[in-house]
Amino acid sequence: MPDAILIPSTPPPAATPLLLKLANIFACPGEVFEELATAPPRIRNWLVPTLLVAVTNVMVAGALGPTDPGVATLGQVVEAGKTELFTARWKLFSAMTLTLAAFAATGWSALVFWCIGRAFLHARFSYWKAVEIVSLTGGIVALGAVVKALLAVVSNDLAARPDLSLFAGHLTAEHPARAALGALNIFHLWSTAVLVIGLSKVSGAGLKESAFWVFGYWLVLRLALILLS
Amino acid sequence: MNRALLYLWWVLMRRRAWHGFRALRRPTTLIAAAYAIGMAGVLFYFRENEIFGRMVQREALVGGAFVMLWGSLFKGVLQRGLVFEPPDLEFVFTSPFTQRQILLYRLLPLYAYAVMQGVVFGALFAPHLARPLLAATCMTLFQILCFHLATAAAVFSGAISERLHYRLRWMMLGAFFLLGALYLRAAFGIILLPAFARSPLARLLFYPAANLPDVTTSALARRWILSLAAGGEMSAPALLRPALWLAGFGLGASLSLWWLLRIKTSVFEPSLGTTTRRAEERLRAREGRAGAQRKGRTRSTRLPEFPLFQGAGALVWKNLVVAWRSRRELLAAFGFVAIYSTFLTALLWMFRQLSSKTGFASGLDAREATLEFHLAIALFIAILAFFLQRIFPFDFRRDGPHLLGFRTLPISPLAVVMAQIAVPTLLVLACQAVGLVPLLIFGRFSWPLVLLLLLGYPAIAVALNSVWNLHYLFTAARQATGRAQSASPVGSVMVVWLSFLVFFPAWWTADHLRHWLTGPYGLAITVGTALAIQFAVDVLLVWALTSLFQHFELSGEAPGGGR
Repeated sequence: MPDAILIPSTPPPAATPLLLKLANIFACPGEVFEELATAPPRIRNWLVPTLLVAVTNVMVAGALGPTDPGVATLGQVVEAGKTELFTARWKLFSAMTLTLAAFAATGWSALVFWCIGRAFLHARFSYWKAVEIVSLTGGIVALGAVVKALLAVVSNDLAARPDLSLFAGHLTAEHPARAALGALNIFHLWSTAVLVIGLSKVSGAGLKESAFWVFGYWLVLRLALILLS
Repeated sequence: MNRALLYLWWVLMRRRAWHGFRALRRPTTLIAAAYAIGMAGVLFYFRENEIFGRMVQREALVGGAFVMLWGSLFKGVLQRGLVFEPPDLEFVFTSPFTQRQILLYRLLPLYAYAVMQGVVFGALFAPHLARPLLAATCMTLFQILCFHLATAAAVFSGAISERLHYRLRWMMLGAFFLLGALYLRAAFGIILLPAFARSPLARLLFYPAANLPDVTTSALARRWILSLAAGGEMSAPALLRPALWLAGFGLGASLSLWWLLRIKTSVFEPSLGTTTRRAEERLRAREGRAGAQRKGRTRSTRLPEFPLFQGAGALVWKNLVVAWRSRRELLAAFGFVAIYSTFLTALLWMFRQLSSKTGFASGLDAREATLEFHLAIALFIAILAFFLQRIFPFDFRRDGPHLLGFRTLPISPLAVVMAQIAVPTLLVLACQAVGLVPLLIFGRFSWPLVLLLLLGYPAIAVALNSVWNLHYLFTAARQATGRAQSASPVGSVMVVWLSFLVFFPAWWTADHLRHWLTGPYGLAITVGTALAIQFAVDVLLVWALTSLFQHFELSGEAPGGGR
């Protein structure tokens, strides 16, 4: 089955533009990944979506303002007259950190994705293919960031998120139950489900098989870490 | 339960017990059995200790039950089907027994094991249990429950597809670790997660199922951003220098790789020769002929006319020639000795400097402390023999394949044995002398003590070489009769223990005598007596070596007729 995907007998269909791919990831991710599985890896397929995630998160973080109490504290420590400069630099380096984090996280998740495919599903696909799939799934992450910002504005609570912790307002942010409920974020579940489809398409394995491994890592292990913390 | 199967189980169990009992004739099995019985005895003797009480506390029992239960399930799943004896497949499976009867027949030995376990549990933990009999019975029944679960899991997993089994296995393993970690956290407050796994930064590991802005709330990221923003240690100029260093070395590594990959010389032909040579060396080492062959021709060496090298002395000469040709081993040994002796000499020198500065050497107690320090150094030099013996293989280790040839020599077995252990013993003594000279200079021992020290080192070297040669001879004899390819790890461990044990009689005597004998000659008499005992042990060891050599001769003449 994997051989049939990697060496197609018919010529590959015409490549869809990246913008369309990013839009299709919300509506029909299977088609996007099916096309990706047969096409050679392209840098723009992972660079643009990852940059989009980074920019969206930076903009959302900028719009909501600093949530970190440490910034205000240090702002007082910095000598008078330089506070504005410090705040500007803080925003700049936060944005840099977020951008770096987006790329590092994409690289790491692609590695896990690729390892699952190679080790557990015995499928042969390149690491860059995994990077493309994870990056394109980032479109959902960007949408999640926007929804989170809107939710924060509407509910007047910077910690508000589109997850089950919305219903556990009486619990503190550090409470394990709240953290576990927070893990059940609708956009996280969505992006994980899209990763399942991606793994299934690129490896040739069944959806159930792919779901077992992807949900095992991206959901069960994450919940386990929260419960054990 | 079918009576025929019950009888079959009973007969097989009895026979197995008898075979197990007979296997005790083998020294390794006997030692293992004695060790197990001894350990059980020790545990039973200390059964009232507090630690046993802790082991039957509620938390520990629940944890143990969890491990047993999950372990049984996992073992069953891994097994995929029940394991029977091969004859069972032929006789029991084809006989008119129902599946239920065969299952019970399979479970009978496990029930016996559960009963045994219950008895041991009751015997060990009775002092800490309110109702020992009830607890032991429950333990037995719980173990039986676990066996039932394992059997059911084995039957179930045998019927599922390979792919599903693979997935199930990983699921069970993951669930076991998760539940175990949760139990440890709930019962004992032990958090197995390292700190970094609990930080917000760890959420990045689950991207895209992660909130990226959470990263900036982690302590590490916050410190990083604050330092950058405030222009501290992690500011751009401060980071420039390390970045340049990193880039420089990275560039060096990349350039060297580029240069290496551009080499046009063929890799295959030289590698073929080197690989073949290394493989031969490994084979020779495995067969105990390490370093026997060298590149190129070695010149033949004439036997000297000196009377010492006549008769059995010819073997000594042969081993000396081999030692001379094995320059790599000798250089390694002398390098090691040089480092070791330099370290000891430095210690002696420092001790002398310190005592002269502080006036430590004056007074009776100080003189005794100084003597004890120097004797400790002497002991360190003696310990050198343990390492060196393994470096000099000019004895039965290398001559193992030539034992049949030695048998034809017109010399007595005792002479052969003495000749074989002579060269490594002399080399060990020569190496020890390097460390002994500074000790004698710094130590300023009384002449009886110097004499005893000079006699002590040969006693130790002979004992060690004899013990190890017993092992080499035994291994060579087994290889010659085709019973074993190389020494077993258990055998090697036993020899290591024996090489320490042979000094125990002398050590024990010295330890007791030093409390009774005081005065100016007390130490000398103590060491002298210990030395005499050690020489007696040496004689016994050489005698054992000679006997084994003779025994090998007899079994070699009558192959298959040996014991």
